[in-house]
Amino acid sequence: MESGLRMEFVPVGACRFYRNARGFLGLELDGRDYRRVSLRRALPFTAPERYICVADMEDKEIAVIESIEAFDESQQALLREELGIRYFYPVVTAVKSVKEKMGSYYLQISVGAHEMNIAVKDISKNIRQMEANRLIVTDVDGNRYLIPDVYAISKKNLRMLEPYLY
Amino acid sequence: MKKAKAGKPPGAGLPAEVLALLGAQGLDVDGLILSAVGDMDNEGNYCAAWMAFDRQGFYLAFGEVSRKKRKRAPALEYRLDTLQSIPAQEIDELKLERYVTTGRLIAVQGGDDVPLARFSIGLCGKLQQLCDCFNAMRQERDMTPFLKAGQGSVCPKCGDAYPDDKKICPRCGKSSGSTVRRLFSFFGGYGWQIAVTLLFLFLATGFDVLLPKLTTQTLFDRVLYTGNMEPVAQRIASLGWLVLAILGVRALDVALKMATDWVQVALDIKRKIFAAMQKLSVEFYASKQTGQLMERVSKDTTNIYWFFMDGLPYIIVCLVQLLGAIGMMFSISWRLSLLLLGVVPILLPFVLLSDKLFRRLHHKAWAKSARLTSMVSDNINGQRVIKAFSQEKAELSRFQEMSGGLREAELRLFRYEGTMFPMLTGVIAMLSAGVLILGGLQVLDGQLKIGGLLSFVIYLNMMRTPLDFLGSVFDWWAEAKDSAQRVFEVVDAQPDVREPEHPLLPEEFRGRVELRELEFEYEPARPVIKKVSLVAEAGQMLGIVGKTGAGKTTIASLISRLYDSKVGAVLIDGIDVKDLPQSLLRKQIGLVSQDIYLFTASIADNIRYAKPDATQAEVMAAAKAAAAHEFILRLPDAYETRVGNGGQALSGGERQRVSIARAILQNPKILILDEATAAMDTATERSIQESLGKLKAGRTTIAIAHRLSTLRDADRLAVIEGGELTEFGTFKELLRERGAFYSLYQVQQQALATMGSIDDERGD
Repeated sequence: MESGLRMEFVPVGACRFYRNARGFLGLELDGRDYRRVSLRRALPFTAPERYICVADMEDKEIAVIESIEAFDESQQALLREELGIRYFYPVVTAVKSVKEKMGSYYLQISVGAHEMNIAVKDISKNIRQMEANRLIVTDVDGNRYLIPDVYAISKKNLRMLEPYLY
Repeated sequence: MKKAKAGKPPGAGLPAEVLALLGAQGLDVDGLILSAVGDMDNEGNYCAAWMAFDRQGFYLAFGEVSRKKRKRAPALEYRLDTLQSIPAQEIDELKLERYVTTGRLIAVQGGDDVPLARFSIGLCGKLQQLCDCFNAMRQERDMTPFLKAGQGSVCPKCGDAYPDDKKICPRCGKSSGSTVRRLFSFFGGYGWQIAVTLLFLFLATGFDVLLPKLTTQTLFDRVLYTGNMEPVAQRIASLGWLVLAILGVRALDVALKMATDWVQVALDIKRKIFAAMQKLSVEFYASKQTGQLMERVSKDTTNIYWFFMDGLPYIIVCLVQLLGAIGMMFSISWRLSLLLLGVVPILLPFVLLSDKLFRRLHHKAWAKSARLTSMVSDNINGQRVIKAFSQEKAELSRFQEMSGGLREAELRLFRYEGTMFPMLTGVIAMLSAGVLILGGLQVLDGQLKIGGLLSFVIYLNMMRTPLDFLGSVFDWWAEAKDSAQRVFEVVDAQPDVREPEHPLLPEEFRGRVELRELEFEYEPARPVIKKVSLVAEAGQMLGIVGKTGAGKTTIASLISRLYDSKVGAVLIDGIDVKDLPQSLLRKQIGLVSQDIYLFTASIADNIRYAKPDATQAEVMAAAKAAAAHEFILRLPDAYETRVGNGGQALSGGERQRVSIARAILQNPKILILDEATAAMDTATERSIQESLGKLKAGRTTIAIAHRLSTLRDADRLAVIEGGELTEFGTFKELLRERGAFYSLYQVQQQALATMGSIDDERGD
């Protein structure tokens, strides 16, 4: 049965993204110049390069891009860079230690080359296993860290985290 | 340092080393007003970012802090890479943008956004304060509110400032007292009761340990011993004495155990937590999920409760038993005892290892079962939706999948248990056998008597329970401490909405409500209300119109002070609501909110909630005014119908009418109706409005609605858009303005006209 629902996507040729003098993303669309726009992913985890919403600075939606790949390479790079800023997720590459003290948990982690100590409380809420074995850790300050696939990190690391997975 | 505490910290709170580095760059660090520390540069690389400003400029320095590990205190090394100074008058405004896990500090220069630095989202609060303070300086406004907030007290342990008023350091996870000490402070009022109880327990257990020796060794080896050469009469007499002694000890034991009263103390903990939760403000409840709170109250207190009820006394019992049994065993045969103790170090690592394994397996099984439980509860709560979309089969297969996972985890656990426990039992059996052989040899040798051997075996068995228990009690203790930590977080949490220190007590309220440059945000950098100023004169009806999410409900919450604004004020009769005692304020304000909560009780009791001493007649009159009387009488149990959890289901409109009756009965000076009639048909709404109109005399009514017909009696109307007041005036004035209100009116008029024509057609 045809539901009659159709999502409107912006034609690739109609828009041209550019960097403005201050380094923010701008957009020319249908002869209009939006000097600053922001990008939103509709499915940030499962489809990070598809269904990108473009909004102006008042959060009003201007257009929806069906797929980044349809753009030419320089435009793709621009879009990816901008999305990278908004959707920056510190990716935990190693867990050095997990210590418990009075109901708080102290994790020593590596985010790339950067080592940091974070404190986590309320384990069941703040170490969250999402679908596809994705793990999101939220520390006491509200900062979030991502382990894209908890079973892809080293066995030793996994052992350390296992008691806290719910 | 001490001098600094009294006033503004020198250099606006930046570390002395950083100030030295900045000073070396020619910066006058003594004039800095406020600072903040970020953690990223403008490209999003982690680094140290020191930000500060004075009247001349805004300074942004990037550098690096590295930790030099020394033997004692770790020392920090600071390095400054770049320093950027922007003249203050070139910056119109500083603002933050929030992304997913990061944010960005932006300066508005000549209408253009200029990015300054990125930062982790957790720093939003501190940086927002910096922005607010800077903007206040630029606009020549008072900076003190922003400066004061920054000087929160500091964790005594790590020196970090507490993030909020809860006085719990997130790094140390500790409030200003040790959890253990505080846990025991619950016993404060029960000093002598506890001392007596512990003494009784101690004695009772001591007697328990004494009994086998009396009943076995003394009986067999002294009284019944065939080699005893005393005359029979004397032996019978000593048998009698022994039996009497045994009975006496038993009686004392029972009496002591009966006298132990522990319950009162433990109950007190539960009461304290519940009391603490009542004083917290709405913000606390909104930020934690209700489920979590319930869990805290019930599960965590139960954890603590049982530890004190069962755990603590049992630890004493076990320790006495264990030490007593060992002592007794040594008194019977020190050789056997030494041999036995020699085996322990061999067994220990084996036991510890298996313990660790089991804990892991248990946790896995437990986590799977928790997931299954939450899935089932989801399923039960969502039955209507499941049925409506006929997804029963999909739900079933989801259940099967999850329960399959649980089964597997449990099977693994059982398999390990199946091999481990027989092995442990085997080891213990072998130990007993060893004792029998060696003891038997000693008996044959004449070194030990038969009663001695028997009681030795009894003591050996007596040791098993306390050993098992003491093995697990550390877990239990850890769990109780963990719970206590969470519970204290609730107990310690300072309500965000606080009682004024010097409350004003006006004798009479007239009910004039004024919002003065009111601003509010639930989280930093996301303003919901932006500088709203308006007045509702006493006795007037003020209507607030606006789209969903415009901030109407937030305004209602701010008036009744469920939240506190940091900037601007809500004034009632010219008095800031923050200066009124909360109980007095809430008595003057009746709030009928969008989401209505009916307690598990009769309808009459629910209406009577705000005025428990109201008569039945008053309740009925209130229900009548709220157009609820008729539908209530149609229910079989009328006013005594039980509603709420598990009670009679009421429709949305019926619930609204009950809650309006509740507010009418309260008879407040200011009545706030937040979409209170949205779920009713227009006719019912009309009749409520009429009765409210009669009751309105001398009452200020603030009605929030998106249906304009609700607001047609309003003296004045305020249109809120995106948190801002865009239009304010009478119905006619707003129509004349031809703004947002006018277009909304047009749309709704057209809709009504269409409906009218449909009615006409039907009528024909």
